Amino acid sequence: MTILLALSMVQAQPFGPQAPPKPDPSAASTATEARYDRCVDLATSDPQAGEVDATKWRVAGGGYFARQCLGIAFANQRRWQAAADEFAGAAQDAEVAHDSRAAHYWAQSGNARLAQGDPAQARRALDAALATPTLTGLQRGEASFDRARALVLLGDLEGARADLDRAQQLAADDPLVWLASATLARRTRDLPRARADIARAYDLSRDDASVMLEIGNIAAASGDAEGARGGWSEAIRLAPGSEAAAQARAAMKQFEDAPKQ
Amino acid sequence: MNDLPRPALAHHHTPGLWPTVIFLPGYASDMTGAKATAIESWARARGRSCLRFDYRGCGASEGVFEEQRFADWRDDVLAMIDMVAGPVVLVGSSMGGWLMLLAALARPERVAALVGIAAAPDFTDWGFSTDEKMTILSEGRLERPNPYGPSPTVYSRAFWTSGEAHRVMAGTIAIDVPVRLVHGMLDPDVPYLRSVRLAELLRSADVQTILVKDGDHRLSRDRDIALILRAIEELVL
Repeated sequence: MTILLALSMVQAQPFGPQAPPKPDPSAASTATEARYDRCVDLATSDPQAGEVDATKWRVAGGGYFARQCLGIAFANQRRWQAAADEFAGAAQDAEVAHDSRAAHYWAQSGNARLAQGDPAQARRALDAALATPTLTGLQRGEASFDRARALVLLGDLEGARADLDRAQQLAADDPLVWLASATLARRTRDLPRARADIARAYDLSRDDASVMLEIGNIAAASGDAEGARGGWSEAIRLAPGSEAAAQARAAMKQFEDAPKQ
Repeated sequence: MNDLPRPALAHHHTPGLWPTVIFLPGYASDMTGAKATAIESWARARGRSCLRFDYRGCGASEGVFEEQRFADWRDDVLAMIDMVAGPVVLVGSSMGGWLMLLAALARPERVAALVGIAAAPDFTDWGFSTDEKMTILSEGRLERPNPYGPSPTVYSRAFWTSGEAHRVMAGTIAIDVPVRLVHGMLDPDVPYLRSVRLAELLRSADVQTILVKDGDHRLSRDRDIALILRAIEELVL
């Protein structure tokens, strides 16, 4: 065993479903667009009512717009498997209709699979999302980040590195991407990279306990006891009830005397 | 482990970054030796966790030396591992290098790496002549002149038979962690080929044997200790 401090970033850390692209007016009527907006508003503000509304719309022929909306309603109730299934269904229906939104639905499905704790399925969905060029910019960056998280859980650290490198370019303002990259670099013993990336994460998010936890972990891996103690105690101070603080407290045991026999 | 009250073991724990480096002394030795104290100074200077201790019946620990069996000392090592939290690196000198193997086999989830210093696994077997073995068995004890101290070294039947029962060099040793074996080629007590053979038997692929051409059994000269500390440092980082 080595000094295994859990990878905080790979634990289910769901992001709210990203804002879906509006239905393309040339492909859908203005009426569909209005119906879609109403459904998503409800799925976001009152997910249970949204679930009822989306189901009604789907029965009434709402197609993959309705399925995606239903997925959002499930996701906002943290019913990840149901959400992932609906997003995947929407993606398949959109593919049949040759609608480029399919890639976005696959990305949402992959994100929900990660939250559900199924990295193998997440990877498959995200492979589908990233296989087409239709997902671009920040959305492509976040999908790459999600696939990196899945690959870490599946033990493919090299694949995860490639995806994180891409995510750092396309989603450069997301501190979680830099945190994840720093954590992965520490695990693969690339400490200079770990230090550079955690510094960037800290610049983007100065009050995040999980960033402070990783600052402590990287210092410990570098043999810097003072830096480790500083990072871990700051993580505990920032969010005493968080998972990051619990891990920091466990790590702080290193500085306590062993119990008497 | 049994239910008998265990004797209190004298120990010295320096808190700091894991893994905790635990020093296992040699036969009839204690935690005040040059190697043990040098490792502790190194750990302190770098904010690292370290533990040195005396086996029961040795040094400042409770117990009568001649009553101790080899397996009791193995249990003492396990008690020390269980006392601290987190991963440990065992540094075993001479007989301590035998005990570290038994401890790594018993606590595979805790032991992160091993450093042997003139490691002497199975020395109850190869370290005694047939006449000496007969003396131990028939008279219950054997005295040998001690080159490292004023009083002779005593081997009891309880210790010797327990050691014979815990030999490990018969085949592959199922240890998979990084191992460094440091041995002096002028060691008059434990032939350095013992470390070479041990490296062959360890299942781990990450095993390095470091031979010091003019090194003796104690490997306590400044440059020997510097070499040992470098080996430890490489494994803890």
